[in-house]
Amino acid sequence: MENLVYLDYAATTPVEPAVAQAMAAALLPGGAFGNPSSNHPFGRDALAIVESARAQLAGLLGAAPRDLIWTSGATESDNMAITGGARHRRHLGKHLISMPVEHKAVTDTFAALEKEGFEVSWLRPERDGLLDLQKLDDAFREDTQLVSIMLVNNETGVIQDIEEIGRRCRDRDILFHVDAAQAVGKVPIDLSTLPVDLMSLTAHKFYGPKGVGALYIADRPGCQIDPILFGGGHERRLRPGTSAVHQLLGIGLAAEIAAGRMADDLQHIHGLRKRLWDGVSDLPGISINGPHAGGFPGILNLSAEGVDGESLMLALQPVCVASGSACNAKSGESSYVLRALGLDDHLAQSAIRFSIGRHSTQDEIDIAIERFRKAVTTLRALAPTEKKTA
Amino acid sequence: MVAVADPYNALTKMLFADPTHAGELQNDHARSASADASESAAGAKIALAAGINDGKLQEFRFRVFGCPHLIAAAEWLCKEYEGRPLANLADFRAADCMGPLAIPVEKTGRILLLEDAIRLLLEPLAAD
Repeated sequence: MENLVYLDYAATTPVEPAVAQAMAAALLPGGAFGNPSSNHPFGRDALAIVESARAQLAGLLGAAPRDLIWTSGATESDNMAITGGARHRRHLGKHLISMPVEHKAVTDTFAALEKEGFEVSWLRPERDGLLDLQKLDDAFREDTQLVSIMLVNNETGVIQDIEEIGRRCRDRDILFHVDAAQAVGKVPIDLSTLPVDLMSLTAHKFYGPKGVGALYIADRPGCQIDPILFGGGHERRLRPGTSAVHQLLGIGLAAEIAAGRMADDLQHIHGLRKRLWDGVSDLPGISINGPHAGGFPGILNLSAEGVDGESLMLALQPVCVASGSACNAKSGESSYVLRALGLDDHLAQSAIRFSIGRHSTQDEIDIAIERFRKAVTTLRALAPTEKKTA
Repeated sequence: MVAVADPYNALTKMLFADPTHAGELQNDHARSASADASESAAGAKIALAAGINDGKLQEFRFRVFGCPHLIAAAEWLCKEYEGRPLANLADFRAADCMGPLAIPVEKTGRILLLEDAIRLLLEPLAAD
């Protein structure tokens, strides 16, 4: 792996060494391996870790610790929030609102609810990826019960106006869920002021372990969800199962580190993104999918006219990036997110997502620039004449 | 630990990285022909050009817009048949290269573009 360049931080991040060490120690005899539900010193030690982690994550989010429910990650949190929220309010109405550019964990959950008799309005984004708030206003109905809009888009880095969307939902007493998997630990979030009812997150996107996440549930009247799992009284009876103490230790510590480093991390990746774009933007037929400015700087999604995306991926090696999102990379289909932004199939198919992280370096960005330029030029030269653009 | 296979085998990667038969015919020949074929689903395109002397496929070139497997397959085809009698080209089947290049079966339709292009390439030559 030593010669590879990792620029796929939106897919996942490496665990911070201090986090990994603390987790490993917790697993071993002498560590906090007890069951937090046990009423003896081993259990109490474990419970202390679980609750400390909750406080650490709450500190990152500006939330109260009691408002966080541990889950296995953002996919489970999305399922729990959307399904549990919709079912809890089904006697009030069955209309739900979301966008087709959401992660599959959200769109597939809504699709499952449609089979239960719910009706979903899908709001298409504008060409820049943002939601036109007038479209949202027009979509609200008397029976609308839940809206789900992500904070940072995993493919394009678009940041939605969560505050304004949340305000509109709250004015109508509609549950507002936010998938913040790509945002937590990377951009400032203050749930003490944001009008958000439910927020999903996962640790592995901010240098914590895989397999652990959380769902934030605002402590306000009417903000309740039905459980979708059953089997015990853990996590306010919403998420039964023995707590994975070492995982929770990991997410808590990763959250604390992220809170302390966020400003530096943002400045670092902002500079590297600029360097990357400056290094390739003079190539003809290259376009950014998503915002040129104002989005999350860790993601730079590019399309190259006249280039096949799969070939571009291979030609870029040793630079490891994503074509579309990591979750649908194996399907061979072009990104449904980019298609929703209005890109034609060929341009969407050529898209490459560079995602930059805490450990990315200038040297790595320079290698990516050199490989990208060479790959695009070579593949265009290889194409039948009418496809060549440079 | 369970091994997870690279989607491209070593031969595919080698031919993809160094497609020496990519481009146009570089020399004059007694006869020449070209043909192209495309697939609308993935937008793949292939163009073949053949330079023929004394019934022999003296020079065989390609251009491709498509995935690494299609590029490698086109290079494999040209490398395999260049220098051989033109008549042999009619015997080519996509399956001939899919094995050596470990091309997944779901890409069969794309690799069949090579057969389409060869058929179109040979048609006018047969009429001569």
